[in-house]
Amino acid sequence: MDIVASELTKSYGLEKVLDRFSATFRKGGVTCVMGASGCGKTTLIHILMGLIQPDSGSVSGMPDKKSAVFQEDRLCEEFSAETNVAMVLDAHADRALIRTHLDEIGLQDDRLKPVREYSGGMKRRVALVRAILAQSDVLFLDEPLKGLDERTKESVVSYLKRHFNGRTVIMVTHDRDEVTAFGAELITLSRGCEE
Amino acid sequence: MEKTGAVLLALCIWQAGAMMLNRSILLVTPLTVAGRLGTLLFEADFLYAIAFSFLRIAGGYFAALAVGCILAVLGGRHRFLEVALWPYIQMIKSVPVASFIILCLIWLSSSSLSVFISFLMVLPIVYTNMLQGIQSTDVKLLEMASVFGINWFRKLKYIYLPHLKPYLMSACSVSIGLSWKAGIAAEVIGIPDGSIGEKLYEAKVYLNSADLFAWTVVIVLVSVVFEKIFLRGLKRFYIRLERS
Repeated sequence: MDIVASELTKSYGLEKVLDRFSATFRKGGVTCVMGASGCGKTTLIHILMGLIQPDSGSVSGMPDKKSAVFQEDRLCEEFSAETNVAMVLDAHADRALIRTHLDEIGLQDDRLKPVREYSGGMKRRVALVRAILAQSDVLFLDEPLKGLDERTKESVVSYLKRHFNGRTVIMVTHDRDEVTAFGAELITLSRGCEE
Repeated sequence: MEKTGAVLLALCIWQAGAMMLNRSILLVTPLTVAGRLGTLLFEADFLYAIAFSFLRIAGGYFAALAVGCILAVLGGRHRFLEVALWPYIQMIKSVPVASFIILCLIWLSSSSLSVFISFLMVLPIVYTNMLQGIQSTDVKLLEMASVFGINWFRKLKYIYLPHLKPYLMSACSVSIGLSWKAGIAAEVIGIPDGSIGEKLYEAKVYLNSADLFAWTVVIVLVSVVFEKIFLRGLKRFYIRLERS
């Protein structure tokens, strides 16, 4: 089932961030929401995730099982990369699978260190593995390649594409190259409206 | 090393002061206190008195720790409960401990008085610290947990407990000493049979400064050992949690 956003409006005080925004996110497809900073991309993705309520409008077809990479990494800093990933999985989840994914994304030597000791790019990759391994039908990616150098970006894009596994992916970015890299459908936001 | 030197210097000053004063009823020398402590160790009811007071004061302390944490969780989740609890917590914080002791003597037996007084002194400290900790938990991590559908047990383990560590450690550290001070004060007023408070009361009645000082040293030692063991246990719990 496609995810349909209808006439979403959201204001913060006098500032209207989203103004009757409507879009359809195709089931199993990758959709990029693009736009300049402050145009309402993160507000939109937070409404879709159910973290904030729109002033008006609705979202239909949203699956229960969601996973996400937020604009910030939102990791539990005291714990290792492995634990940060395991905490969103079933209690009986295979730890070897977590290790395989952390290896695949280039964190093989550091997976048992607390993530507070990680660099920004390493934390980002842990957040990506967490979102990929979580059982979900929809995957939200808010600027997923933020803080990664060009070489790492390439390997991360390839990692993500290998593991989307038919999930609906809704991604926020302001980089057109990323839209191309993921072969995504594009929705451009301009001051809260679809262009 | 520096602290040991400072303690030795303080003992020397105490010894010199007591020798200059030369009136043991006002101030005994540390050597006399040490001698009295040595004889106390072999008295039949020495360990019984320590066990009697320890079990009650520690019991009140742990009960307050549990109740304070539960109330803080409830107050943190429901604003109306936080507001409803506010006058009770403020009252417990402000009312002098002696007033509570006398009031409780009317309500309770003297042997359970120190449990209740220790509980009352610790409760507001634990509640206030834990509530502050819960209310300052990173909302972004809680949002992450909500999106991923993380259950309450994992939220407790991975988000709340690590965040609450400094609040819990601080509450425990501050309140242990206070529970002993208030608990012993309650025993001195309530005079339950076989308690450390009773020994202090007898020392006062017979103007026995050596006993007073010796039992005070015992109270300080038991309180410090209890604090060290408990806080070390708490730290080990957190180390194991972070390694899990």
